[in-house]
Amino acid sequence: MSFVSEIHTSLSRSLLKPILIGILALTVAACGKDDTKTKNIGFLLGVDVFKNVFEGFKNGMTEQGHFDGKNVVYHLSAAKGDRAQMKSMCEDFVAKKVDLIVTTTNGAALACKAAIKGHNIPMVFTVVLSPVRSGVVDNLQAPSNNITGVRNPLDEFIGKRLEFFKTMAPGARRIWLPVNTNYPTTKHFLTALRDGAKQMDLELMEQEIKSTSEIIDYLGSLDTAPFDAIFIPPNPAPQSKEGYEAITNFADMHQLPIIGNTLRQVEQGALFSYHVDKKQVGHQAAYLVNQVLSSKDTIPFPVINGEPDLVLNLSKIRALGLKTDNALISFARTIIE
Amino acid sequence: MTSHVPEPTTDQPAKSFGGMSLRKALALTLVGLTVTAIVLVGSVSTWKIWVSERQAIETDLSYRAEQAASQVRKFLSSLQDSLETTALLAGIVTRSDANNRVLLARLMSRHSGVRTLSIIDTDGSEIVKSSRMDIVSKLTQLKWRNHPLLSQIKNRQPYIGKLTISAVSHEPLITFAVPVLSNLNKVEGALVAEFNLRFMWEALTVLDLKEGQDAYVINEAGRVLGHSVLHQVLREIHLPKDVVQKHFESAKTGNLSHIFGINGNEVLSVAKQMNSINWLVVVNVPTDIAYTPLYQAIWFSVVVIFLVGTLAAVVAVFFANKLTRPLTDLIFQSAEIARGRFNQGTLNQGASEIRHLSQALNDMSLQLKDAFDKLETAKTDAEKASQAKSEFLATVSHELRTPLTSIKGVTGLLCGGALGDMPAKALDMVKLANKSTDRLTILVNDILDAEKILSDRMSFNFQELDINVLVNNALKENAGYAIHHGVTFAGPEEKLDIKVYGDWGRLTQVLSNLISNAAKFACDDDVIHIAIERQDSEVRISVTDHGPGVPEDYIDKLFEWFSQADSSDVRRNTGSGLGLFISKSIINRHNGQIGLSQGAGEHTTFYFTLPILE
Repeated sequence: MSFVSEIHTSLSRSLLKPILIGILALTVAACGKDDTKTKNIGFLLGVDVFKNVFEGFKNGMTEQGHFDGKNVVYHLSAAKGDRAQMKSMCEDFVAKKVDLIVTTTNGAALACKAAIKGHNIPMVFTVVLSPVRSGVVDNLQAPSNNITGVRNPLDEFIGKRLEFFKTMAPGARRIWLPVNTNYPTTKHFLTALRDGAKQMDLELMEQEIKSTSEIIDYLGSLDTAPFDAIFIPPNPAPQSKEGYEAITNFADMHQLPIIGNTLRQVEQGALFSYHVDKKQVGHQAAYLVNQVLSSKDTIPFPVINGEPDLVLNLSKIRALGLKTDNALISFARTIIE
Repeated sequence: MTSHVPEPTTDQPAKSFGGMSLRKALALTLVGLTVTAIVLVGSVSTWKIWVSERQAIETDLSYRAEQAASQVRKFLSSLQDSLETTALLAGIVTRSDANNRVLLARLMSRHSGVRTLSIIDTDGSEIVKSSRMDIVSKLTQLKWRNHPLLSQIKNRQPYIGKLTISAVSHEPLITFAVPVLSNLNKVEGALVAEFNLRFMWEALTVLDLKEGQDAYVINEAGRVLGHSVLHQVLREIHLPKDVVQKHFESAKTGNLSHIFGINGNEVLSVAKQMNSINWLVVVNVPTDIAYTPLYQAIWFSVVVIFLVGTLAAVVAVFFANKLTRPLTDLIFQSAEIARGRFNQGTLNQGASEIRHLSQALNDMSLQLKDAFDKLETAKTDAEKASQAKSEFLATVSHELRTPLTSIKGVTGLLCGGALGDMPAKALDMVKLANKSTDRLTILVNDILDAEKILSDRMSFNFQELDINVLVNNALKENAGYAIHHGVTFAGPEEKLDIKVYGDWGRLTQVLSNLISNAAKFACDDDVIHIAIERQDSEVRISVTDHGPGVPEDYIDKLFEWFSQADSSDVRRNTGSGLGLFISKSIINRHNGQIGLSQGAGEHTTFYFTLPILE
């Protein structure tokens, strides 16, 4: 072996291997840093009433640096409350191998939870009442199964609506509640509402209502109002266009205040609403999605709460001759005059 | 031309430097110096990179920690300002429940993280209360009685409580309180706020942190109150005391601290103290990420060192070859001379010293050539003379034998009376002539043998021989000597079964020589002992007489050419002086040894050894 080859072999043995490994490691590290990959996000709208969640979500994602069509692509599916649709749409997301799924409503969350089982696709839910009791997650602090989301703490604050109402109408006593007790989420707020009524010394006149026609028929059958106010629960029939129209017509006719459930309802004549703003929920979901996508590992992210806002229809208060409380006005996020 | 100059042992240049060639040593020295210089420069550069990188990390982390602290400070200041303003208004301006409810509602509307607000008196009873989630149907008397916040408030100090987790929402809550003062600046109570820390976390999670960096807020006990990574915030993390201590030291000095992070990995961190609150905002980065640029620089240095080192090696080998080439040529020239190939010419390249040395070497080789030529001629002449001498001896010996045989025959006949009785004097003369003929014959035979030995032409007929038979036969053949010299031969006492590999005639010649010598030099009536002994792998045959022995100063010459101890003794001076020389040569050809041992005037023993045939 020549001297040159001796030196070459010696240097090669001592230095070449670690250098090659180092260069390879640096190359792999450089190649592995794939931050520019476009993310595919499946968004399942359980019912159309929550389309504002998607609006808020997209805005929030943009604020977090995820631009629609550039580094993120949204696959929006609307199930219109159909459970079978929800299931197939979630399975479609899984088949498309989206990077993450966002859902609205308890039904959509449960459908997609089942669909992602066995797949490494994270899910962020929104507008879910009692996520633990409804079986979407096992706990709020560190939920497993690659699922987290924004909880709707309606059961915590629904009684607050009665407190606000009592402040405006101290003399009111009976409140009509057109409720479908079989609707999956009803059980999550009804108990809290009953407790609130008890605390505020109000009589909750619960009436089992399963369809819009039942509302129309019942209210049409009344000549006088046997109650002092109407409470709109988060059930489909009283929140449907026809159902709510029948309620507002009846309320206008009998000068009754309506305790609303959404901003739209306040805009259409309800006295006020204390609810979690849908766009804000979407915004919070974007915050969570960004956290999940930024994480390299499958780790539990805590479920966060939606924040309720008071929307006050001041003109309606005055029209009905109710008390205008300065504290409520100060607390209200939105005031309609 | 032939030559007896020994061949060189190798074609390689002579080595030095501990077995290393000059070329290799020179190349290694050049490579070593170059690589050492590169490594030194690389080390200094790497150290500079290390220092500057640490400074960069420290600056970056300090900047981000300050940014994080600013965010949290802004957030808390805003809350504290709002609380203090509300408390001031509640104490001095409004002093009515209705107005206080409005104040609380405004404050709650402004800060989404505020869950409940209460104005309490100095006994801890609620005066007015507002809640974001719960129904406020009645106020609680002495709810805050004995609560530590009361003593803090009485000292006009704001109060910050411990972190608790909401049982319903599992969110972290913390209690803040500020004193409510009257228009006489007297403490009338406190404004107490229960705050959801998640809103502070959000301030941390939107920080512009680099990859791998994280930020968190801890209180003086090491409890993590907020974290830039959302999944860390609800883990109820308490940092170890030593880590908390390092964080506080870092906040004091502004230096980097090297700790084990929340996940147990090694991190570099910088802490910033919050004003007015004993909280720290910490920003850290895992060391492996922090030092990545440093590692890359080191790798780059290693690659550069390798490449430059390789280049240096190639250049060094080139120069080493160039510098040592004349020496190599000189070594080749010497080797050629050593092989007998003189007049290699003179090198015409390299340094002048090398060229002069080459010239001197070439001159020396020419002189050597002359000397060798002369030596060769002399040797040839000597060989021719030796050949002539051998031929002369052979011819003379042969020519002498024929007439000697005739003389022996004639004198024998005369002594035997074949021509009738002769006068006594004439008979004595004839007998003398007969004896002289015998001696001359022996001398001629010995000279022929010696000449054969010297010219390496003596032939041997090796075969397996029984040593007893050999010795006894020799005794029989020399029995006449015993009678003639009046001595007695005593043969071997014991018959040993020993075989040797030898020439029957030559070994008999040796034995006869020793026995006849013993007979000649023994005393009258002496008994000459012939013995056979086994000595390990050899057999020793000895002949012992009790004559006068060999003079000490002659023993060394005894086995040389034409040697006799004492020529004055006519009786004993009947040999040629070649017998022992011939015997030694024969025994040597049998791989044996021949020698003499004698006691002080008592006996003389000649012996020889032969290898036993196993």
